[in-house]
Amino acid sequence: MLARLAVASVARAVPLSQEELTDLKLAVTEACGNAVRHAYPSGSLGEIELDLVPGVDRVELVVEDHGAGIELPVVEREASEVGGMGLSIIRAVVDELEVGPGAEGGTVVHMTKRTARPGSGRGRRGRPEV
Amino acid sequence: MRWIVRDSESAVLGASDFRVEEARPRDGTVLFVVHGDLDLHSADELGDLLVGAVDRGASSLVVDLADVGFVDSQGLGALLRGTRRLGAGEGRFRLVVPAPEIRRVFEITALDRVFPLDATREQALAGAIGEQGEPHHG
Repeated sequence: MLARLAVASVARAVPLSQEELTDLKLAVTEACGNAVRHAYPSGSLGEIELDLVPGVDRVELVVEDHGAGIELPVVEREASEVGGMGLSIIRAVVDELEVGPGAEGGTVVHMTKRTARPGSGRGRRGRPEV
Repeated sequence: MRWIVRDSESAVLGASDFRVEEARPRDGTVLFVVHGDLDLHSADELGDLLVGAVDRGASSLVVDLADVGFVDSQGLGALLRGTRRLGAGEGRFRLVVPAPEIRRVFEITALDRVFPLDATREQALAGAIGEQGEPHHG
């Protein structure tokens, strides 16, 4: 919820279409959800750092945790399972996605969403395999 | 803009007003009207309700998401739990999804091919099949 509120605050600074706003909320929520489930499992809690950087034609979103880290092969395997739809959703709604280890452990999810003024006709829809 | 969430679960904590109303418009059919955000923190609650209804004999489920502001993958998983418990009978599980931004989540995950999506509760109930295997008519 806090992640979605953060995205909403970006929307006040950057003109976003409703679809772009929905996509950003989805991407951030799924990235944070992955951190909760994988970085801090078994009910343990930890920090999640969320960077939202609005640009002229894009918004960059970085979600970093300091937890156990995500093994990429595991992430890829889960993408086809019910519990692993998160990354599939992220891939569908952002234009660039990088998942890697953080400098001090944990995982960094770097997402870039290109934006356009509402009504420009630009859009991107994907239908990932689930 | 940088946010640091000390309590990681707060990053995805759902709206505090999440609640589900349950009704039985017809024998064998259970209607769930969901309010709030359907995400990591509310998905299990809804999933348990759907599974519980089937275990108590429901043969048709209608889930109204008209008052839901957000659905993530965990929310989709809860709906999948319900439809899988119910079985593959066509028309036995229907969703009311009038909002384009919510419908989009189903489209990008291709789950609009799995769930019949209706624009209104009336359409969903009409399309649901009751215990006697006959379509509803209003």
